[in-house]
This record gives sequence, structure tokens and C-alpha cells, in this order.
Amino acid sequence: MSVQRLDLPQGTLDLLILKTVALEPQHGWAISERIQQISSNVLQVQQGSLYPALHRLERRGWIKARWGASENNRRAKYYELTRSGHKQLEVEQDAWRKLTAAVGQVLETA
Amino acid sequence: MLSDILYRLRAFFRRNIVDAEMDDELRFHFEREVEKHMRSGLTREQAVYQTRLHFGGPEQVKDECREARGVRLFETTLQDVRYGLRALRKSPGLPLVAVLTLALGIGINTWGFNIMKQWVIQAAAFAEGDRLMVVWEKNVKKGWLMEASAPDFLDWREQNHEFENLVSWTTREFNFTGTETPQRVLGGRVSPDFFRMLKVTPVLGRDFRSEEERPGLGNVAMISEGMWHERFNGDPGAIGKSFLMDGEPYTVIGVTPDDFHLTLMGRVNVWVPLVFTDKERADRATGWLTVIGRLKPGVKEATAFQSLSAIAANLEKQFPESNADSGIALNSLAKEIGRHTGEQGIYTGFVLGICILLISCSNIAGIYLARALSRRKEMTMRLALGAQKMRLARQLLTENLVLLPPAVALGLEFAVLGGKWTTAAIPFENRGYLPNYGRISMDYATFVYAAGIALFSVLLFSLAPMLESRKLDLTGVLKESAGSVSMEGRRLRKALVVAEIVLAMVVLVPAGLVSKSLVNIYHEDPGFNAEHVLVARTSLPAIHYKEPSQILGFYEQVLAKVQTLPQVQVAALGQFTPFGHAYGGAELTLEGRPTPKPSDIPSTRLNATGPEYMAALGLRLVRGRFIGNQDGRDTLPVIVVNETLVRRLFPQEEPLGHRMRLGRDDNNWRTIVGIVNDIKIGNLAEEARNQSYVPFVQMPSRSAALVIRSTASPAALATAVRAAVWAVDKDQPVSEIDTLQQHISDEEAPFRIFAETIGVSALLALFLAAIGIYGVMAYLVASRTREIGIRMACGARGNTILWLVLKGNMKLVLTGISLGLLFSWGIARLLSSMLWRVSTNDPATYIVAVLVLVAAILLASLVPLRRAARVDPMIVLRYE
Repeated sequence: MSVQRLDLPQGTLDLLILKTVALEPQHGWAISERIQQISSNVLQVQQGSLYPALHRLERRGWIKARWGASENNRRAKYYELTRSGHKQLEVEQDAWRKLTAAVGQVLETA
Repeated sequence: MLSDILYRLRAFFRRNIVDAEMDDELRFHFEREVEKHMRSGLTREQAVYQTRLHFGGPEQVKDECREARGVRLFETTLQDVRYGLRALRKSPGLPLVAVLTLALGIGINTWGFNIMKQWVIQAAAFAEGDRLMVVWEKNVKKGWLMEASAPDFLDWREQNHEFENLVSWTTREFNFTGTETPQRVLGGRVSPDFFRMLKVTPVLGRDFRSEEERPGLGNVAMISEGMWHERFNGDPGAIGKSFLMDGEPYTVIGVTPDDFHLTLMGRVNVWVPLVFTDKERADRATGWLTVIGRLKPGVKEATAFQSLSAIAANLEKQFPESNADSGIALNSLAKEIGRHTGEQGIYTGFVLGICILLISCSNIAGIYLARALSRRKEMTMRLALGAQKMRLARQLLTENLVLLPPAVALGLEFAVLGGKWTTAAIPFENRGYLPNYGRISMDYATFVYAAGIALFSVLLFSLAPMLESRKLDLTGVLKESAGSVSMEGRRLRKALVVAEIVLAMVVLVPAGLVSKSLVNIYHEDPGFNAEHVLVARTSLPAIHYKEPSQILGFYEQVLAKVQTLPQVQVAALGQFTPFGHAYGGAELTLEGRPTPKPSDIPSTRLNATGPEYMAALGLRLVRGRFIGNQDGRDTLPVIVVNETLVRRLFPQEEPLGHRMRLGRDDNNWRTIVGIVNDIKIGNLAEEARNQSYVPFVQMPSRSAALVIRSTASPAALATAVRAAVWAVDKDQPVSEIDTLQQHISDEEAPFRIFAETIGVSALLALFLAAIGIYGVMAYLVASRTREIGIRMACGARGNTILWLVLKGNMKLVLTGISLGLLFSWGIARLLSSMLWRVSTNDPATYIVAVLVLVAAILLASLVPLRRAARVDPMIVLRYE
């Protein structure tokens, strides 16, 4: 594969998951696929970190899960953003933007 | 936060469902991944393979999800508990010993804690009790604390500005009549503000009004709740009713709550206002009142002390005769109560209890260290398979925590037994002077304490194996053969041995000192013969027995009846008896001597006795004669004195024939006709004091005791004596009816109980320590088996080996003993005031303690040592 994969910095996965389920409820596999697609295969989420992250976010009350039928009519667990999850997403997005902007600035000027 | 908890709870309690859901979720993911790969052209087989490769271990993912859900801690703990229980079922011996040892430690400690909690901490539990102070008159020259005289108390109360309220009290016994059998009850004469000052409100009726201090307002009384139930069946209509005390009617105005108990007074059941007679009001020389006050908020103890001292100094100037050298002493009520309860002994017992608990912990630590060794392979294997060290340590801890509930339950059982024993051992008479009437009960605090120390102990003894498992080194252990221990492990075990020796010393030395004191006390000669002597006291009410002739008539009749009882050898009368909790006294003026300074006026304890009294008690006549039948009401006033008085007041003269005046009454000049030996009056440990005896007929007293020497059984005799008294006056209660030996034994009971408790604790400590030392020694020797085998193979003899092992352990023993000596000396100083004719540095005690301990250690090491000396090199080397 020609695409260079990047390791996700600590905490970024949570942000990506929140963003992915913000539009519509998604199941775990779709979340990882979507992140991979949108990032043009740069970001690849391993199951080993995806599911623990989902469970952690659920425990914090930022996403909630319910069982539903998938596209091919199989039982799947869908995750959706809760109200506090929306707030958390905004906070984290904001923080991320500030961070990247600041890091970018330093890299360009220094 | 709440949703978090709900989530965790669901995750924990519905974990089977949650786990199943996760399985579904992961399978779904897996399937989709496979499908994705198949879409890109792989066969199903290849797709599954690819997916597996990427997926990682599903179990690991699940485990991490569990962790993310925040329930892993519960789950694994549950696992460990299950594992612990299973291990327990498989080999119950070791844990059983651990539980028993722990329960003993917990039991002894909780017992001590309960006594301390109830008799010391909760003893002075009065509302805002920190402001309550007891005020004594203090002889500044001699350092004695004395009760206050009525006029002094009144002056203090009037002139001070620091106390919100200052009250006084005294106790006396009353004859309670009008029921089937006449009864003696302890009554408190208290200033009317007494209850208000202590912030105690009656459960029924009212308390005394301030004006009830003035005479002539009629007799009012408050009774205790117990008395109210006993005499009035708990009828609320009891208020306003009257009863007879000492032949006089009293009206009930209130009922005091049963949980109110000022231990300094004893078990008071009737309260009457303290109304001073004119005579009491005028008499500054006689101290008889305990004074207690509540400081105004914010007033310091020191300020109050200065103020009262200034008042006392003024009084001394005004009344140099009666108030010479008289200053003030101020103690907090809590301290005063603690002093009377013997808090020093209780604290010491508590500290020793903790030592025993620590010994138990060391023992269990030793046991577990030995077990840890056998489990080392298991642990190492698990580490090699990827277990975290923290996780293993936690498992060890959890396994030990399984022991907690049975140990606590059993420990509490021991504590209850101990409490019962203590309560039963305390003589009935003394219980009234202990908080809560001497009862010891368990409550919530007891349980929390027991559970707390149990948890602490488990943590403590789990520490050793945990420390060792932390040091586990994979390759090292797997290569190592069984039976060899790292340097680290040896050091830990040696530390345990030293700790046990130190702790055992800390318990042994105080126990030795106290036992020696007890022996010393029992070896004190009371100066009289207490065997086969029965004492019975009656107190005639003044209202029916006004004249001396009536009093004498009553006692003559009773005595005549008692003397004719079968098996009675001698019966006599005495105003006071030894160990009867009361004694009289008088100032002395010696004829023909210059008047001494007020502070140097000699005094004597005084007893009015009938003929035969001295014979009944077996006193020894030194010179002259006893008081006898020739002393009548109108014959020469005579007096018999003891040797100490002679030694102090007549160092060079012959006292016989000399005249002395008792008190200040010129009718009371008496001629010394006899000298008798010194006897103990209050307790066996008291120093000899001046003592005088006068004929009862010349100084009759309403309250007097029959002293009967008889071979009859005390119980039968007591019944006969009561009958004899009631035949003369049916309203006369007979109290304190008991053998003189019992009186002595009761008097010494608190110290005896203390000594016995400490002695038993010491034996237990010694036993536990010996077991512990045996365990560790056996282990240390066993761990050197291979080395010993090689040495023997190279020609070493059994004795050489014995010496070798002994030498190695000698250092430990010496370290332990020297540290133990140091610590135990510190603890012994706590005890200083409780010792009798034993110094806290008593060398003999320390030497004996060391010898006993060394003997125990040797005994404990004997078996392992002999095993070491008999090691067969061939077996050892082949076994390897």
C-alpha cells in the first residue's frame, strides 16, 4: 500500500468518533470505515481501540447505543450523539482547531 | 455522574447480557470486514484469514472494553474472591490458623478499646463538659488534695467571677424504710444548682430550686429512674408522693435520668438539697464537700485557678487557724473521672493490646511468606504469561481479605467474652464508681473499630508477601530450586523475628512489673487477722435514736444476741472497720507541749471501739492494755494508740499515762493506756498513719459495725445477724455484711483485675510470639537445608551445624531484645503510678523478662535446629 498510515495522537480518536456519529447514528464497523474513507486511508482505526473507545464514550454519556437493523438487515449496534455529546464535540473541535492552528503557526514562523 | 454510575451498575450486574451484546457487536464487525475483503475478490477463506490477522485477539478487545466500561475492578475482584475461597476449601489449615490468630488479636484489642471507650472517653460525657472543673482545697506544704469546708465553699462561690455556677456535693447513706425489708441507699446531698450546672434535666418532675438551699423549706428529694421503677412502679403520679428516709418524710419532686451517672459519687439513687446546718456553716476546719463548677464560656482554666487561689490566700489571712497552707487545685472533670477510673491502667492495657495485635500480624505474615514460597512457581508462571505485577499483588490481597469477615466475627465474640469477664470480676460495690455502672456493651463504634483494625491487620500482613512478589524475577525463580530464598526474603523474615521479639518484650516487662506489684501488695501484712471475721454495719437514724443511751442500748442488745449464736467466738463493736471505706479523724493536742504552728498540729485517725474489738481483729498489744470492759461511760477517758503515733509524737518519752486532747473540746482529754500495732485501714498499699482507739461507750456513734469472729459459714451467719438486728429494731437495714477478707479482696480488686488482665495478655503474647518465631525459624533453617547438607558432606558435625545456625540467629535475638528493652522501658514509665514497691527500672523484672523470652525462643528454635543438625547430606543432595 502506498498510503502512509499515521498513528492517532492520544484523545484524537474520541473526537473523530464523536464527529462521525454526529451526522447520523452509525454502527462500529461503519464508523471505522468512514474515518478511513474520509481521511483517504491515512487514518485507520483498529478494532482493538475502536470498541473500548466506544464503550468509554458511552459510559461518559456522550454517545448512546441502541440495537437496530443494518443496511443488509442484520442486527447491529448503532451509536448516536447525545446532547452532552454535542457539547463535548464542540468543545473538542474548538480545542483541536486552536491546537493545530497554534502548532502550524509555530512550525511556519519559528 | 449518575448516568455513569447507572451504566457501570448495569455493566456489572447484567454482565452476561452485556458480554453477549459485545460478542454480537464484534461478530457483526467481523462479518462486515470479511464481506469487504470478499468484495475485493478474495475467497471467503482468504477473507476470514485476512480479517483475523487485522482484528487482533477478540478476547483482548473484550477485556479492554470491559476496562473501558469501568467494571473490570469489580469483576476481577470477584474472581479473586472466588479463587481465594476455592483455595481455602482446598487447604483450610493455614487460613484457619490465620483467622484464629487474627481473631485473638482483634478480640483483645476490641476488648481494650471497648473498656477505654466506655470508661474513659465516654466517662465525662456531659454537655459542654470541657468547661466543668473540680475544685479542691490543697495543702500547699504537703501537696494533699482535700475536700472543702462549707464556709470555704460558700466564699469561693460568692467571690469568684470565672464560674457560671459553682456547686458542691457530698454523699451519705440513708435508711430507706417502709418496704418489706429496710434498705440502705446511697444519697447525694447536692447544691440545688447541681443538675442545672451539669445540664441534666429530670425525666419527670422538676429539679431543685435555688432557694431550696435555705433550711426550713421541708424535705424534698429527687430519685433515680431505677429507684422510681423499683419503688413507684414507674408511676408518673409518684411526683408529690412521700417516703421515709432515716425516719423522716421526704417528698418526691423529680426523677433523674438513668444515663446520668457522675462516677465520682458512686451509684446515687436519692438526691436531696444540700442544706447547711449552722454548725456546718461555721466549721472551716472540716473539709467534706466536693466542689464542681462550670467555667463561663471563654474563661481559661489558668484564670480561674489564679482567681480562686487569690480568694484562698485571702481566707488564709483571715482564718490562719483553720486555713493554714490551704491553696487551690483545679482539675477538669474528665481528668478527675479518669483518675478515679484508673485510666492510666486502661491506656497501658490498650497499648499492650496493640502489641499483641502486631504480634498476630507478624505471625500471619510469617505463615503467608512461607506459603508465598510454595506459590512462587505459580506466580512466576502467571507473570511469564503476561499478568501485571499489580494485578498479582491485588490478587494476594483479595485472597487475604476473604479472611476478614470470620476474623472480625470471632474477634468480636472474644471481645464480648472479655467484657463479660471484666464486668463479672469487678466487685458489685465498685461498679457504681465506674462509668455506665461498670457495664461494658458493644455498639456500632465497637464494630467499626474491630473491622477497622482487622482491615489494617490484613493490609499489614499482606504487605510482606506482596513485597516479595514485587521482587519476583522471572528467570531467577524458574531456575531456582525449591527451598532456597533470596537475600531479600531472608531479610524480611529476619525483620519479622526481630519485630516479634521486640513486641513480646514490650508486653512482658509491664506485665512483670505489675505482677510483682501485685505480689508485693498481697505480701503486705494488714496488721490484723482477717480470717473468719464477718462485718455487718447498721446506721441508726437520729430521729429515733437521739440519746447516747438509746444508741448504746440498741447495740448492747444486738451484741448480746449475736454473742449467743452458735460458733461465734467473739463479737465486738466498732465505729469503723478496716477496709470499710470510712474512717474518722481528729486533731491532737499533747499535754505539756508547746502549741505548735497551725500547720504542724498533729492528727490521728480515730475509731471508737467496744471491748473485744481488738481481740476480734487479732491486734497485737505492744504495751499497756486494750480497750476493755472496765472502760465505762463515766470512768477515766482513755485512748489506745498505734506504734506509728508513738514513734512520731513520743520519740523519747513513755507515752503510757500521757494525756492527749482530741479536737478542741476540753472534755476530751484522754489518757493513753495502751499501744497496739499498726494496721492497714484503706488499702494494703497505704503508708502507716497515726491511729487511735477510744472506748465506744465514751464516744458512741449511730453508725457502727459488728465485728464477729466465727467459724460458721458467712452466709448463715449473715442471716442470723440480720435476724438479731431486726429482733431489736425491725426497721434497721444491715449493710456491708461480708467477711473482712472479702472487703480486702474487693478493695484490691481493680488492681488485681488489671494485673490479671495484663498477666494473661503477656502469656498470650509470649505464646503467639513463640509460635511466630518457631514458624520463621523453621523456615529459615529449612531454606538452608542444601547449604547444611553440603557442609555436612564436607565433614561438618551436627554440633558445628547447630552452633552455626544458632550463631546466625543470635544476632537477631540480641537486636530484638535490646530494642525490646528500650521500648518496654518507655511503656513501663506509663505505669509508674500503678506500681507498688517496684521501680519502673526494676532490674530483676527486666532480667526475668529477657530470660523467659530467650527460653521461649530457644524452645521455638529447638525443633528446627535439631532438624538442621540431623540433615542427611545424601538425601539433601539427591533431592536436589
